[in-house]
Amino acid sequence: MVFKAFLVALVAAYGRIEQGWLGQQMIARPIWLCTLVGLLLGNLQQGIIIGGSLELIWAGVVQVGATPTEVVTGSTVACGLALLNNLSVAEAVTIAIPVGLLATLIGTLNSTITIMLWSPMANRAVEECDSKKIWWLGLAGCATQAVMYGIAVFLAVAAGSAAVNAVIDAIPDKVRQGLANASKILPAVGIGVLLQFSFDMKFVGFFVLGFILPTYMGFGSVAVAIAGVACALIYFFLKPNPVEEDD
Amino acid sequence: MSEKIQLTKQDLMPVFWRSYQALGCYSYDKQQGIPYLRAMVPVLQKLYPDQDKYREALRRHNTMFNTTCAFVPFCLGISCAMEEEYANDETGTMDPESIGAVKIALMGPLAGIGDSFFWGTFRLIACGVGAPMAAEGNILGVILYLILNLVPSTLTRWYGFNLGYKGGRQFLSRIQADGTLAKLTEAARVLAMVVIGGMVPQIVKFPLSLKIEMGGGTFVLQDVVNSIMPNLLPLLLSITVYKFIIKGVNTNKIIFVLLGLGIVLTLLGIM
Repeated sequence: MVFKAFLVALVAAYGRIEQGWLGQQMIARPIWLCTLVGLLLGNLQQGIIIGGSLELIWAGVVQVGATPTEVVTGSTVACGLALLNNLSVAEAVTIAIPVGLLATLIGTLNSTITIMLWSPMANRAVEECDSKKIWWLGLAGCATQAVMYGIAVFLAVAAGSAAVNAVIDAIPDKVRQGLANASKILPAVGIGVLLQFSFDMKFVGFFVLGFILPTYMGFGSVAVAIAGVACALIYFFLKPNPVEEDD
Repeated sequence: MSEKIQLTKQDLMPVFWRSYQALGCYSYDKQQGIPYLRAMVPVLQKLYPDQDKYREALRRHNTMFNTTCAFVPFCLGISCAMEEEYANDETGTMDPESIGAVKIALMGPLAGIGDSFFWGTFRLIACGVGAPMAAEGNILGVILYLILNLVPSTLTRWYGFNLGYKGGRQFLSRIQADGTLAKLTEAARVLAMVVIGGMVPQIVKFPLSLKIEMGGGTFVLQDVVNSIMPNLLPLLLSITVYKFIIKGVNTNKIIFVLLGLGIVLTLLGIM
């Protein structure tokens, strides 16, 4: 159990490092991290399923500005606990949500360290023309973050298993079924947040079109994306450039 | 007359690689500022052999900076070109302040475009295509998710860096002035709207289990709803959630309300 918790913690630390050192290429997300957790814990299939399900619920949670939910911790802890205790996908989702909320505290702590410690040190390094110091200071914030998140995830998975089993067993069957049903409607939150970013009344027709394609014409997700590309191309090439004085 | 210092590929490549660590030390005061400074070091060292000038250059880049990660190489490319110009400026006509001013002027608009492209479009398409497949246990969903994110990001980084170094400022102001940039952003939004619309019936499920035996036959709630329009409830629910979000309701609150709703409807036998 301790070793397995360590493996899950490694994935969480990798998630931080992907964002900090590897260019934040949008892959430190449930769908990829849970797949890695599944791979390391020897249940790839279930890891992929949990990752895909969490990705759908958290589709709208993005790392822009103050993040309401910490998806790296939420998804690794939930996926680790689910695989180690044979929990259902719905139960994993139920764990992920509060964990994601709690984990934002670690981010706040790390930001405090950065502004108290690394930032003043960088100012001094500049005055001293210390190129080597600048080299490692530019990596330091992410390093402390990876370690702190790694430890938190390790403790949560190692200590959480017993507690999780007790809690899950105490939930009545009917409520568990309710949680499973709730996890089917939860992706509406992801849709809502995405709409908040992209919605514009003048584009509402494209939203309706996107809805119709799978509903009435049986389009799969790849086909919808291709139809979307077609719409974007039509829009781009047919819309005249504004007259320069317009702006 | 002193010799011109020319930046070579060997000088520029370390800057490109260091652009990947743009979030390596994110702080409230400088945001990506320290990693940006770190990325500039190899070029500044080459351009300013004189310690005082080197310190001055370091100070110039030890400032607040923040934009979408995929556009950081583009900004770095521009900074490198401008530093090279300044280091070789013997007439003293170039104001070094302009190097920082260009950075600050670029980061806002680039973050706006970048976030809508990388968070709002590419990641969204990757999610719309990959996540439903993954949720059914298909590893192809994960692979597609990775490819759809990594390919645009990698291309933007590499070509952005080169373009930035070779006159990126002029290019950007040209496509901004003739409206191409605005159109491109809107086209990305069109694409996002189609994909989000298509995601509704694919990822939101609202199964109803209520059946009532009546004199002649069985009243099946799901069939009644379907006869109005399939996927009607997922659509209404998504729009309702969106309405609450734009009213400023915290999404975590909405998540808990939906969890409660699922449990209550199940206990009542409706779901």
